[in-house]
Amino acid sequence: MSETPSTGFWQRLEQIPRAYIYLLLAVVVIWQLVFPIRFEMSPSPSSKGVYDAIRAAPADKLIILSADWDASTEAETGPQTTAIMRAILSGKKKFAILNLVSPAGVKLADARAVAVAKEYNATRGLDWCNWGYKVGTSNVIIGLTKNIPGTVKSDSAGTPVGKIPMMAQVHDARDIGLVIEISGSAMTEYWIQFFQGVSGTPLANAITAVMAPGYYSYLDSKQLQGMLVGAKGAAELENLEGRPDRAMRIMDVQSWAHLLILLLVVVGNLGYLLSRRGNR
Amino acid sequence: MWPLSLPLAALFAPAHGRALVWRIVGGLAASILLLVLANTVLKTRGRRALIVLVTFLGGLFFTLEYFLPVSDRWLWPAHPGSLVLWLGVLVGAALAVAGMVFSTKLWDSLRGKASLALVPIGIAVAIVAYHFARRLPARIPNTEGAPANFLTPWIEPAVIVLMVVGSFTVGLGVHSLVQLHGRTLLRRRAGWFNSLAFFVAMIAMFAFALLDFYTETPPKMPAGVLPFSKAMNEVLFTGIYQPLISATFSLLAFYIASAAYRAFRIRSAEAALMMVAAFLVMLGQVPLGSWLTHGLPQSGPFAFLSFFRLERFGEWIMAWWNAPAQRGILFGVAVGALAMSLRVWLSLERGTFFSQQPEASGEPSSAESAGQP
Repeated sequence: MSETPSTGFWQRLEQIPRAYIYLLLAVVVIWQLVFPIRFEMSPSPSSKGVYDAIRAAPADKLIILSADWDASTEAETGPQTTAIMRAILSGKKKFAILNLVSPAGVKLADARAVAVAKEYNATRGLDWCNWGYKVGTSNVIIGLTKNIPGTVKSDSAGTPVGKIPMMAQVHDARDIGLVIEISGSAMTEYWIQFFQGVSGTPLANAITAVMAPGYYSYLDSKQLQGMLVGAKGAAELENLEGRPDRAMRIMDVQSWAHLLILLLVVVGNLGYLLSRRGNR
Repeated sequence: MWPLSLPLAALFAPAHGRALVWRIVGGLAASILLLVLANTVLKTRGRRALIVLVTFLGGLFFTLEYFLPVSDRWLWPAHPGSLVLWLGVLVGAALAVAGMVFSTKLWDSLRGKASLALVPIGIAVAIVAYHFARRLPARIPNTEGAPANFLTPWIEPAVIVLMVVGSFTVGLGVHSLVQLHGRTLLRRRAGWFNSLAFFVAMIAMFAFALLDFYTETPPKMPAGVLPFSKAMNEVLFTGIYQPLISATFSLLAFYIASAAYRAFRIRSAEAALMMVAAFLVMLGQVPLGSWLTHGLPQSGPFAFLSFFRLERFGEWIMAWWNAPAQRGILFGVAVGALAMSLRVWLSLERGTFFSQQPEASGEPSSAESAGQP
């Protein structure tokens, strides 16, 4: 796209070519990846809510991780998933992964579960399982409230639910201690409408930062016990667990990237305002 | 156990081996026969009526299952609220179906007014009555102790049917893509190589994913070595698809930086206010922002200043300013969705395929009668 020819210094500030902006951002990101500068983080109430909900879930009940994400949002939802799995397994709770939106996400969440399970000596089928992708979104959720084995039928590897030991005592919504929706799409509403609203099971979510503004109402109404907002939420959960990891590294980068964007906005506006003044 | 549960249980009992094959073949044959019959025997009007009826029954089932309380004493027509509910939806349905089949001005006016009024009134009365009746002892039928009404045992079969119908939409999508790209490829239109890439990618992913699913890894395989099908699926999915889609979305960060710089100009007082809020929230979201204001005391006589720590102030903007605005939007959307759902449920919504299709009898379509070209 052609750039408007600049006529003065202030106007030039207003019209920095996008290639330079991309380059600046790339430099900042690489700089922080190679030489990170880390700042302290204090957990937000919404992240603390997720941590507390996991801690409060009864050990004899299952936690459903509705991992409705794929590679497109993995930068945020991936670390969130890992941090949540760690919080669950460190508390000696059990979880089942479910995917209602993206079949491509099943393997990604599974790989993270395998890695985290190794850290805690957790066993597939005893401490965690992967129900895989189920077609039907809201219908599946409705089915889960009444009959979990009948709705899930088999796990992601095709193993019938009846042959998964940890599923022996799981029948319906009353056997679920907590649902955590991890998503880059608006799936939380479905869980609120068709599961939490019907069964009263506690619900929390982990979403991309851009989605967060829409969910503060549900936090306020206590329909959501907590919310992890983007990589920041994952980093806060990592800190609450006392295990800073990948999400904290992302936050190192994001701090400076945000600052760069804010500086660019200031520079653009300085150029805009001062060039208008010059024209008058 | 409810009497209807027995035939249902028999119909949906798991089958294995030859019985499963026969069921699949039988199911496919029945589906094809039904589709052929629907397309040959039924005229446009008949197909429309069929869709109206199925849509209505589907919506009616889930609505009633949700609203009907879990009590014997509640069953239709024992309770006035329930009676009004049934009456409302049935009259609405009858009017809607009749209106679609016999499209006359009289039916149109009845369908537009009476059904739309009766259905919500029926539901509202039933909800109010439910709140009075819910203290009645709950009946626990055959759902392993879970509270249920007489429709609850049907939930699972209904969900299965919906999942099967939902799966057909995937086939429809694939069919549409194949048709579009096949045409481009065969006629060598501009960009035909993209269509070729589509076919290669789709067939490769489909074939190797299926092979991977059905291939058992031999127990004596050396560590790090996979069977060919599994290795290929790993290469395609983990090696190509995943990095490609991650990279595509990562580019958004660069576009956002550029777009924020170009578009965010203080052209008015509102824009200035928005920019201040954006600055505070963006800085409050990152550890650097917290560090900038970490010197503000959290205890002592000036503890009130801690409110201005960026992470707290940003959270305050989100929870106290953003949330009420979002709630207002949510209410508006919910009311709109309710009205829209009612229109879809009762097939009052125009602009669907059948509304655009001319009648076999020569009757003008709704688009034509509305004066559209």
